[in-house]
Amino acid sequence: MTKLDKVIVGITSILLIVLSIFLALTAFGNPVLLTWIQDFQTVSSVDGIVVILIVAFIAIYLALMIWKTEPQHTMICHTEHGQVHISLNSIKELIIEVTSRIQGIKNVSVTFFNNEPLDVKRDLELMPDHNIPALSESVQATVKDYLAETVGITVANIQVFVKGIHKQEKDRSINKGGM
Amino acid sequence: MAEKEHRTELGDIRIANEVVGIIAGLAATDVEGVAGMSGGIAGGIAEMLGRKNLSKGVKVEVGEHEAAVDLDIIVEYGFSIPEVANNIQESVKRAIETMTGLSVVEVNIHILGVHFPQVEEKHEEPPQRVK
Repeated sequence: MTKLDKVIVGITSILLIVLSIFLALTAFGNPVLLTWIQDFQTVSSVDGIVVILIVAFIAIYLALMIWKTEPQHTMICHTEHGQVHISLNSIKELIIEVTSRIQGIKNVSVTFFNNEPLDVKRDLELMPDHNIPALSESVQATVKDYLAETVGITVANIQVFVKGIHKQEKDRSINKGGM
Repeated sequence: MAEKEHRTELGDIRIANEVVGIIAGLAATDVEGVAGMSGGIAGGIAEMLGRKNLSKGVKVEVGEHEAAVDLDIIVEYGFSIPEVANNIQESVKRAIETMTGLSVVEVNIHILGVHFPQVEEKHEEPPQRVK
């Protein structure tokens, strides 16, 4: 979010607060808002045009903010023909996929602390009946080898945070079938 | 639109930048391990409207004799990214140089995503108990 974005969001929230106050006053019988709107037609239509322009500008700006894409963080490799930029999102997707394929691991999430050298932290849940240190080491080794092989990058540090034990839903259905 | 111009005895030959982009896009998507090109929101809307955009995800800079290309790529899961990127660079460079006569100075690849193939669930019919 840029500074201008923050200013626009700030102005919007102030306008909404003011509008809600006027709406509340109207609800309690104070006609100030209605009178002001009626004045647009009779006394000063310039006020109305200014308000419409401001609201329209804010609305368009906020709509454009949805479409605005954040610059992607990438890792850059140089080759003889040019550069290869690999987005950290792609690397994240690959790490999640590879880690999830290891037996006994569920709900993986990945955070990058540093791009170069790559510093990765993974939060994951383990299935019960698994040796946590052994499985964590296996995860570290698998991801390090996979990234070296498939992406061509060396990971400096892989932190594994076991955030919980995955609860398996046991089949509690009771066979109610009779004779 | 900027274009490459070549003068012959019989007249001028001009190649539009978009043509160079299409050549690059087609050469890139032919490489094994490329799931597709990432064209952003505008490209997606154009495709939704039924306009097939062959230069989607391709940016080209064309000079009088040289060209530089940037490609936004989505790779297929299971392929080595450096290998796929290198194959794309070679393929795109070869295609542009062969077809347009331009010298390609740079082919920059931007890997923006990974495509994971959907695992198809087999719906096997249960064996008949009664024949």
